[in-house]
Amino acid sequence: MNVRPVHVVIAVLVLVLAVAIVVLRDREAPQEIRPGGTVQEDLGPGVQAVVLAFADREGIAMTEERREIAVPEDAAARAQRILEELVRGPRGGDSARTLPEGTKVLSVILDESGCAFVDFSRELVANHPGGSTGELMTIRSIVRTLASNFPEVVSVRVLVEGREIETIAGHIDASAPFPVDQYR
Amino acid sequence: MTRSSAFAPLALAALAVLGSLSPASGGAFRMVFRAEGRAETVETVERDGVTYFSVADLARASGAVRHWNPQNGKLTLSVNGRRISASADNRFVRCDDSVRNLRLPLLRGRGDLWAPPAYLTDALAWALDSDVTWDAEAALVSVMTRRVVVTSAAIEESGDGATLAIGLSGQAEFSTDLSEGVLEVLIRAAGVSDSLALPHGSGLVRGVAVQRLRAGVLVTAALSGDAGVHSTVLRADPTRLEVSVVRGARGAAESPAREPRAATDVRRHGLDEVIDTVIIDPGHGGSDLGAWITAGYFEKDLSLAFARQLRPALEREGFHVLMTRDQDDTVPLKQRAETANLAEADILLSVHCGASFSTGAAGPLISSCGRARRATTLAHWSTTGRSGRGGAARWDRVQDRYAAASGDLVAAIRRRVALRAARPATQTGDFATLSGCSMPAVMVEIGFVTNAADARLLADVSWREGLASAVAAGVSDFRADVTREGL
Repeated sequence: MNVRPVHVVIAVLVLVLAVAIVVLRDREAPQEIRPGGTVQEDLGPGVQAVVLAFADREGIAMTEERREIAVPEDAAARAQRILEELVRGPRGGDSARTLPEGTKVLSVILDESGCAFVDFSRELVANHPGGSTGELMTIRSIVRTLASNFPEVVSVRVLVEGREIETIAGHIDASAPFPVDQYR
Repeated sequence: MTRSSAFAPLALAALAVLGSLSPASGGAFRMVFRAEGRAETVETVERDGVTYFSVADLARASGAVRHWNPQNGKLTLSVNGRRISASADNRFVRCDDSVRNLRLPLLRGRGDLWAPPAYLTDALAWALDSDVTWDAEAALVSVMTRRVVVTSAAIEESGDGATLAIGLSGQAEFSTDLSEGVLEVLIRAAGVSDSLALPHGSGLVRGVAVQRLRAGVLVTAALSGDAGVHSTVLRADPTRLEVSVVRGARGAAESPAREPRAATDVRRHGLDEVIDTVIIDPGHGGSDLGAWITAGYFEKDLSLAFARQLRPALEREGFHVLMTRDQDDTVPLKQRAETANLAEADILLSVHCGASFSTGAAGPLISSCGRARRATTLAHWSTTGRSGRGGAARWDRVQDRYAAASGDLVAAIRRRVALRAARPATQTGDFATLSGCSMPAVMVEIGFVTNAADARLLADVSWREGLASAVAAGVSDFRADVTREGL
């Protein structure tokens, strides 16, 4: 085959261009900071950066962790997926989990008044360590996680196996919805 | 590949394993205790260019009690009431309730454990309240007791005021804080003299406690409800810190400021003018186990045990005492409030233990319902949880009427408990037991069963006895404040 020098030059240029495209595309996408302080990124179809609220190591204050996860389009299904991620616990060493391991999120309903009904499996109650602070952290992490990802949520009602509960661990009244402005 | 080069990695691996298990011989260091003017000899070994110190020698020289179990490699050193726990081949040590990374593991060998330098400079220095430095060339370990030591504490009455005088062995940095009647003076990087005696309380300063924290020494004083700090002066020669406390004027140092209650407040709170009946509500019980403590022992058992200690402590303060349960019975939460209301009790104390997923959560916690932010009427209840305007009041939200009085009761108990435990916390929340109580009602969580240091204290009957007396004294202070301000 007769290879002319011009072909070699073109081939090299194409190769350089291809490498440049790959390198530039792999760089971190520029982030747009919105006035509200949230960071919007183009993460590809179905992937969303979500905010998960955990407790700090002293168990008295909330911490937030941003995580990119694949989520469904439907809002209620998305809320369920985000809460399932919350159950997995924090990745950072400065935070502590707030929901017992093995707790399942059975379903989430977002009603028109802005109340999120969250139905957990019995592990939420059966495997909870107890204590009013631990209980408050559990409630606050659920409320704050939902409110951070769904601004339309104004209150959260916690159910266990489809039934209303009096408390999660014997202290904080769970017989009514938890208002977001009080518990986030 | 030659035979020798093939064996080289194997030989190195074998050396590494053997090396970590049996330290080669090294030398001896002089361990000089500057303040006491004495020196001890501490055996050392060298491993990979690092000097390791004999833990047995360190313990002997420091006067520490050593528990060493060669079977499982676990070591505990106790000195000054502080405890360092470590394991062989592990680079982390636990100092009471915090963890330090020594960056190199403790080695096992010759029937002893060998500690890297960070064990001296980080862990042992903390336990001894000293600065520990070491010099490899001079083969010298220097132990310098922190320059400043709290030598005395006294309450000096003077006319309408009192002075809390803290004697120091030298100049020190300090900070003060006054919150809800608890005065805290933190003397940084200081230690405590072994001969320190604490004064008895007076009218304005009801008690003084001294606690050692990592940051220094915390002197806590419980002030009477209407006392404030007038001035804080550090005097020289002899060095002493004087905190002047006066009645009636809350000092500028206090935050958040709260006006003394008006005489009419007692009636506004709906309190009886005579507070004589306290009902204790031991948390959980029967099939409601509460937090897990150890195998077969739960929060329901410990809360009942503490309630049985609190009862005589309150009776000694002159209260008539009732209990919502005095056996291992299952009692629904709302029924507990109902029992207290029917008995026309003047105060409810719900007794629980703290627990958390975060093992760092620690200390007593005193809670009340606080100001109502959730629905107090039937309107808007079902889905919003928000307060509606107008409508019938919910019977199980009657505690809202006592929010201020319950807050005062929390503050009074906290002031006394602060003398027993470092920085007891307070919180408010929608407590299911308290919300239906038609009287000042608080929850006292006596410590976190999920925190190692707290769990040790909670297992100590005499420590709980002291805490019960502190809670009872706090309730008594509340009664005195209400009675005085109500007349």
